[in-house]
Amino acid sequence: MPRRILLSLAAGLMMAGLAWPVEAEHGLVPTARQTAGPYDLNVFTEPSPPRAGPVEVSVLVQRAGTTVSVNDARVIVTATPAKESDRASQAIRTEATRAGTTNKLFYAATFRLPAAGRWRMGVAVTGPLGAGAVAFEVEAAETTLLDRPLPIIAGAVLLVVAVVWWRGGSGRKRAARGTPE
Amino acid sequence: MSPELSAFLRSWSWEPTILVGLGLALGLYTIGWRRLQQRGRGRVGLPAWRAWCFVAGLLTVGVALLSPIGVYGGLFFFLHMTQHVLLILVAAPLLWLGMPLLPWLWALPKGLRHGVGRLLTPRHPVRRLFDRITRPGFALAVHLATVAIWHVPAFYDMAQGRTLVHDVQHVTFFGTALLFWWPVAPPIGRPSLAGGAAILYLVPPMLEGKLLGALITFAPQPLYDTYQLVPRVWDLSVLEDQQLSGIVMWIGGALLFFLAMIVLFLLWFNQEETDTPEVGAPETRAVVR
Repeated sequence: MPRRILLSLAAGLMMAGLAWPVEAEHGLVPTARQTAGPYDLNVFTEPSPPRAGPVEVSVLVQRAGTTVSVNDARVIVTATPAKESDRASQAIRTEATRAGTTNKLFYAATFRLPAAGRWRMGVAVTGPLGAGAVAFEVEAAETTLLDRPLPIIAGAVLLVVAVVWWRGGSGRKRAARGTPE
Repeated sequence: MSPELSAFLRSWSWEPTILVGLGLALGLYTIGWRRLQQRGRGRVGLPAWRAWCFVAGLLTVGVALLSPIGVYGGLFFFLHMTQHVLLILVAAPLLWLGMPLLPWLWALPKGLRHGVGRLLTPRHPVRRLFDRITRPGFALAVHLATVAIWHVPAFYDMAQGRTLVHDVQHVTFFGTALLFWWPVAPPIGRPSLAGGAAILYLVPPMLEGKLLGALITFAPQPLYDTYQLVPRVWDLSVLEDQQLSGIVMWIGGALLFFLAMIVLFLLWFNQEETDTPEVGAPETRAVVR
């Protein structure tokens, strides 16, 4: 395969990687863990604690007091700012599903938290055993550059490659001219 | 099939950064390997079994990080332990047996290859630094210390979940594993340890794994807070999970070290390590240019 096509492909893949939304890996301590009616609910946020910007909320729904996960449940996630004046304009309501989740035991929803500050999160479940809901508050921080270190690392690697490439090319030219390096 | 098992088998993480990294590593290796075969006319080419080792190493990294083993590693200690064992004792030596540095070098455009080739000439500071950190004593000490430190409960708990510390844990585990395997299965050139010395070199980490594995297996209570706080999704208690992970480290690790000793003995016996020249040797310098 021509080198240009390969390099373009690599660059494209790299850009896609950088633009990829956050993806939860369920290993964190749950943000909320409560029994709600017939269910035990474990709620995770990624990032944890959440930050302004893209946030994934994952919910593990289990029969209360067991390790049996509940299938065919409808899970609704809500987020409303604690500040009353922002509630109407910034309230979020979305359905968490198993489509696209990494761990297929979890229901997940991804949304954009518009601002830092105190947020009230809610998870409502309706399923074969009945209904249950939990609510909890989280403090969302501002997003910083360090939250997404990948572009910085990728930039540093590209810079090093460019310098080595440039030095290699100039070294060859010097060698071709017969001047000592 | 139970819903829990079905969910486990379908839980794959398609983490783009890992997929891109694995794809780039394989793509560059393939290009370089073919160029070496064509231009070197067999003089510096790598045998096919080394290429297969490299592919197997990349697959192992993929399985460790992207498969249900990686996805459920945050919920179960024994799966997280399996992930680390795969990275340190399977992926790292397989990748190095593939001798990837020369093919990677050859996959680069001429100017970049020349630049990297200069960094690897014997008197260059970068090469001297590499020579120092890949000395058997240093590589062994760093790897032993890394494995021991990350199993201290305070540090282990700090690293759990998708945090920067967790990434640092994986990078240091895998990075020091690559350093550790370098003297006996270097990614380029000849091993600095061979035969009996190479086999003896594997004894300290094997003993460390047995000791830590036994401590974890026989601990009367859970050692790590993380696994007491995450939800239980299978009928496996925190202590049973911990005992399983200790066995993975203790027995699984020992078996893999034993297998590595056999491979090293066979390599030594067959003198396979003479099939590629040292970087900086006249023939390699010619090829790099």
